[in-house]
Amino acid sequence: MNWFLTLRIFLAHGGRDFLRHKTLSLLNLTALAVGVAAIVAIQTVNETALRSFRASLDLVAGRPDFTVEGQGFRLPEKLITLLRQDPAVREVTPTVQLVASLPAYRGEFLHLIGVDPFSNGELVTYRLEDALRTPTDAIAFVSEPNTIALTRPLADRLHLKPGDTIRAISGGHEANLRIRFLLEPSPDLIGADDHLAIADIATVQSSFGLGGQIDRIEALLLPDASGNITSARTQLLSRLTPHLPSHARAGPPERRGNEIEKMLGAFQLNLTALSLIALVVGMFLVTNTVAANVVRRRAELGLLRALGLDRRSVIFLLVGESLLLAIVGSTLGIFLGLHVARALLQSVSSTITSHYVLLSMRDIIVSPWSLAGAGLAGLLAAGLAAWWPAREASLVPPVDALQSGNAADRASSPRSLAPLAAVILFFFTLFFSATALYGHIPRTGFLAALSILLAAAFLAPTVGRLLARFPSLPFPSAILARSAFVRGLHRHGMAAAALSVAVAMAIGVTIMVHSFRATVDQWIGENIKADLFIAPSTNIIAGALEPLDPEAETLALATPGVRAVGSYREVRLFLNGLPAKLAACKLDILRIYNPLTFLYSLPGDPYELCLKGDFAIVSENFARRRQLKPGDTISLPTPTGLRPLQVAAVFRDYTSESGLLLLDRSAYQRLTGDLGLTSLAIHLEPGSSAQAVGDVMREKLRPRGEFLIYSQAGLREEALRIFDRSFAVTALLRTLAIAVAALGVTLSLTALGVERTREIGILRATGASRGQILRTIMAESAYLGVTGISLGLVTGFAVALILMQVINRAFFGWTIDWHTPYPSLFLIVVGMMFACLLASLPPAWRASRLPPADALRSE
Amino acid sequence: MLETRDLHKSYQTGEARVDALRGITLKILPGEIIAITGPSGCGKSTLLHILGALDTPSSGQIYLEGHPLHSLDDDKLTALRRLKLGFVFQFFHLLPTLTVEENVLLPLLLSGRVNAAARERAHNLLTSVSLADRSHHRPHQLSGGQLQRAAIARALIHQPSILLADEPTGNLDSASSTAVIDLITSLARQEKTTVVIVTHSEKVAAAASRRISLVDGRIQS
Repeated sequence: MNWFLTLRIFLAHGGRDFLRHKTLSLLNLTALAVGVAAIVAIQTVNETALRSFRASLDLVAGRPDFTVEGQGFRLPEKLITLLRQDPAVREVTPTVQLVASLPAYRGEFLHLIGVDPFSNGELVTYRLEDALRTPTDAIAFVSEPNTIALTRPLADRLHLKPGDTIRAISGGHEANLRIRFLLEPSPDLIGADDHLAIADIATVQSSFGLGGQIDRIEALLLPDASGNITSARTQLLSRLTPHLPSHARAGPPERRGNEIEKMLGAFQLNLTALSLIALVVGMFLVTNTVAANVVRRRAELGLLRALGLDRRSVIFLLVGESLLLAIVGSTLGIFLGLHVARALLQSVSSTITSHYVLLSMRDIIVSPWSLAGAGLAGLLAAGLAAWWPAREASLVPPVDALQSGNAADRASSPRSLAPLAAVILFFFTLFFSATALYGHIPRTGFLAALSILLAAAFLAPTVGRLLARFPSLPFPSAILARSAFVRGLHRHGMAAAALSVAVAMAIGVTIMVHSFRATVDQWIGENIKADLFIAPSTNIIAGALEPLDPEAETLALATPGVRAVGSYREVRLFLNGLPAKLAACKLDILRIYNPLTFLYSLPGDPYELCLKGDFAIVSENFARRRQLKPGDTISLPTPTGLRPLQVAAVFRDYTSESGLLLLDRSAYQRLTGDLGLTSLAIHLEPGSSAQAVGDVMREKLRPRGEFLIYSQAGLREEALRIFDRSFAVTALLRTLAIAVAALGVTLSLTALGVERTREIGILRATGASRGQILRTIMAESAYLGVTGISLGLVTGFAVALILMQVINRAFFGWTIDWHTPYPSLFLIVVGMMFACLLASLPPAWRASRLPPADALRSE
Repeated sequence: MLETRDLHKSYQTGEARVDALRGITLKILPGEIIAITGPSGCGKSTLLHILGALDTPSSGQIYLEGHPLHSLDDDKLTALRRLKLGFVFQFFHLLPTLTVEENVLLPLLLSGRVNAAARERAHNLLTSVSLADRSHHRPHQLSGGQLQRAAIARALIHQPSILLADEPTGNLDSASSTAVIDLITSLARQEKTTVVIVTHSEKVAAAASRRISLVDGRIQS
C-alpha cells in the first residue's frame, strides 16, 4: 500500500470537505490554535524571565570559571587576596551591587554594579561607548570619579546622554553620578535588565558607604595538569572552603542561575500546568471534529476500504489529515501565543520581582526550542485526539460504511466503559494527592488535578443522559431539543466534557484565588496593626532591595504623635538548599503592638525566648517545607559563622512564598553585623491622625530621597494589588480555557447541524418554522451547557480542594481557609450558560435558514 | 384546490444551468389521487417539492386553495405546510429518539396542538395502520414497512388537504409496497385527502385516479 499516494487522494477529498465546511474547519483550527497559544505564551514568558535573569547575571559578572558570593550579606574585600594567591587562579575581579532610587525620575531606579576595570578585562560582556558612539576603555572610569555607564534603553527613556548628571540614593547615602558612557550588552545578552548601570567599584563603595565590602568575586582558573577546568575548580573549592565565611557560597557560575530556576520552578510549573488545560480542552474538540469528519465521510472511507485500503491505512489517513490541520493550527497558535506573551510580560515581571528576584523584562525572548515544543504539543494533542475516532472508523466493515442512512444515526457511542474510567480516575486522584502530600513528590499534585478533570470528562455523557430524564418544558422546541440532545450525545458528550473541564478549572481556580485572597486579607486585618509604614520608593518596582535610610527611624521617633516605631529588616538567602527570607524586627514592640498568630510554640513566651537567646520564629510555610517544629534547630550562615538557632514558634504568615525566618533585631545585628533597615512600622498615640503624621514624615524625609508612606489601609490595598497582579496570568489562562470550551459548543452544534441537515429538512417539511428550528438548537445547546456546567461546578469544588489542600500545601506550605465566592461562581455559571447560548446562535441560525428542499436532498 | 401555471425551475450547478421544470401547468382537484411518473432526473421530485411549499419556482404561479405559494414568504409557507400539507418520504424519516406515537404527533406538537383529542386521533390512526401495539416503540425497533406506515400516520395526523408522497415504496419489498399503497389510498379516501405520489412504480401509478408523466421537465400526458 502506497500510503503517501493514498494520503494524497484522501487529502484532495479532505481539502474539499474542509472548504465545504469552512466554519467547522476554522473552529477546529481556532480551538487548537488557542490551546497552543496558551502554552507558547507561558513558555515564552518563563523562558524570557530565565534568560533575562541569566543575561543580567552575565552582564554583571561575565562568564567566569568560579564565583564566590555572599548570600544575604556582603563579603569582606580580603577574600580577593585569598583567591588571588591561589595557584589555580589566573584572574580575579570583584563586584559590588545595590539598588538606588532616582528622585528626579519617579518610579525609576538603578541596579548599580561596581566593577574593577583593571581586573575584569577578560570577563567584560558589554561595550562602553561615549557620546559619539566610539567604543571606550572602561579604565577611563578611574580618571573621573563618580562616573557611570547607563544602558542605552534607560538613557533614552530618561532622555539622558553622556555628560549629564543624575542623583541616586540608597540606604541614606546620596551621590551625584555623571553619565560617562552608554552600555551596550554583547548581542547574546539581549534581555538583560536595562536598569543595570556600571561604575568603578571604588565609586560605588565610597558613594554608598560600602567601604571594604563586596558582593561577588569572579575568577578565571588555570586548567589542571590534565587540562581540565572542572577538576581545577573542585580542588580550588576544597582549598578555599575552610577560609570562607559561612554565608559565602562558592562554586561554578551556573549555580546561581540554577538556583533562580529552582526558585521560580514552582511558580513557572503552576503556570505551565494551567496553560496545558487549554490544550486538553482543545484535544476534546479535535476528537469531536475528527469523529464528525469520520461520520460525514463514511461513504468515502467505505469506498476506499472496498477498494482495498486496510484498517491501519484508515487510521493513518485520518490521523495524518488531523496532523496536517494541526500544523496550521499550531502555527497560528504560535503567532497568537507570542502576542499574548508580550501582553503578559509586565505582569509576570512585576510578580517575579515582588516574590522572588529583581527582574525587568522589556520584550519577549523567543526560544525556537520552546516554540517547537509547543508546536509539537499541538501536533501530539491533535494526533492523540484523532486516534480514537480513527480507530473506530477503521473497525467499521466496508459494506456498512457504504450503506446510506442518516449520518447522525450511525455515529458510534462507545461510552459504556466511561463511568468505570471515571471511577478509576477518581482513585488516581486520591493516589496522586497522597503522593504529593505524604510522598513528598509535589508535582503529582498536578496529576491529581488532571485525573479529577478527566474523571469529570468521562462522566459527561452519563450526566447528560441523567439530565435528559427530567421532563422538558412543555414547548415544542424544548421537547425536540431534549430528544435531539440525547441522540446527539455522541457529539455533545465530548463538547460537554470539554466544557466541564474548562468550567471546573475556572471554578477551582476562582475558589482558590478567592479563598487565598480572603485569607490574606483577613490575615492582614488581624496582623498588620501599625498605623503607618515607610519603605524606600524602589520597593514597589524593584522589591525590597534598596535599604531604608537609617535616619528615618530617628526622625520617626522624634515626630509628635508617634508612640512606637517597629523596624524591619529582610534579606534573601538559601537555607538547606531552599530559598528563604531572613527577617528581623523589634520583637518587644511587635509583641505589644502587633502580636503574631502562633500555630505551635515551645512552652513559655516565644518572644521572650527570642529576646534572650538564640531562638527564631519561623513562618508556617518555612516550617512545612523543611519539616521543622518548635524545638528543632536551624543553622544560619552569617558573616560571623554558622549560628544554630532553635525554633521557638511557628506563625502564620503570607508575606513570603519562600518562607520567613524571624529574629529579634538585636540578635540579628549581633549575629550578622548588618545594621541595615528595610522598612518601618509606626504606631501612633491614641487620637493622632495617621494622615497628619504621614504628612509630617513625608516633609521630613523629602530631602533624603523618595519614600513610600502607607497608611494601614494603603498597605492593605498595596498588598492586595500585588496579590491580584500575581494572579493576573491565572485569570487570563482561565479565560482562554473557557473560550476554547465555548468554541467547542459552537463546534459540536455545527458538526451536528451538518450531520442532521436532512432531519432539519424533515422538521421543516412537517411544519417547523425557522424560529422553532432556531429555538430547538439553542435549547439543545442549553442542555449541553447545563450538563457541562453542572458537572464542571461540582468538579470545580474538587479541583479547588486539590489546589488548596494538595498543590498549595505540597509546593508552598500555606494554610488557605475555604471561602466560597458565591457571586463569582454565579457569574461563571450564568456567563458560561450565556456563552453556550451565544455559541449556538451561528449554527442555529444557519440551520434555520436551510431551504427545506435542499435539506431533504442532503446525503 | 392545487393549480400551477407555467411553472419553471432552474438550478445553476457550476457553470451549467439545469432546467428542472419547463412550463408545468396542471390542476389537481379535491380528493384526487395523482401519480407523477417519469424517468430519473425528469423533475418529479422538484415538482413535488414546489407543490409541497418546500421550494419556490423560478417563474410561474402556484395556488393552493387560492393561496399564491409563489409569492408567500417563508413564515406563511411554513404555516401552510403545518396546516394543509402532509409528507411521506422514501426513507421514512422518523425522528429516531421519539417514539412512534411521538413521531405521529410531531406536526401537532410543532403547532402546539397536542391534547387528549390529538392523542386519541394518533391512536386511531396507528390502529388504522396496524401499529397500535407499537406506539411506544422507537423507530429502530420497526421494520421498513412499519416505519412507512408510521410515516403515513404522521402525514395524516393534522388532517391535511394534500398528502405528498415521494417514492413511498422505493425502499420497500413488494409485499410492503402493496400494503403501503393500499393504506395511502384507503386512508386518503377515508380522510377525503388529495394525494400526489411521485413514483417509478407502475403498480403504484395504477392505483392512482390520474397519472401525469414528466419528461425533461415537461408534462407529456
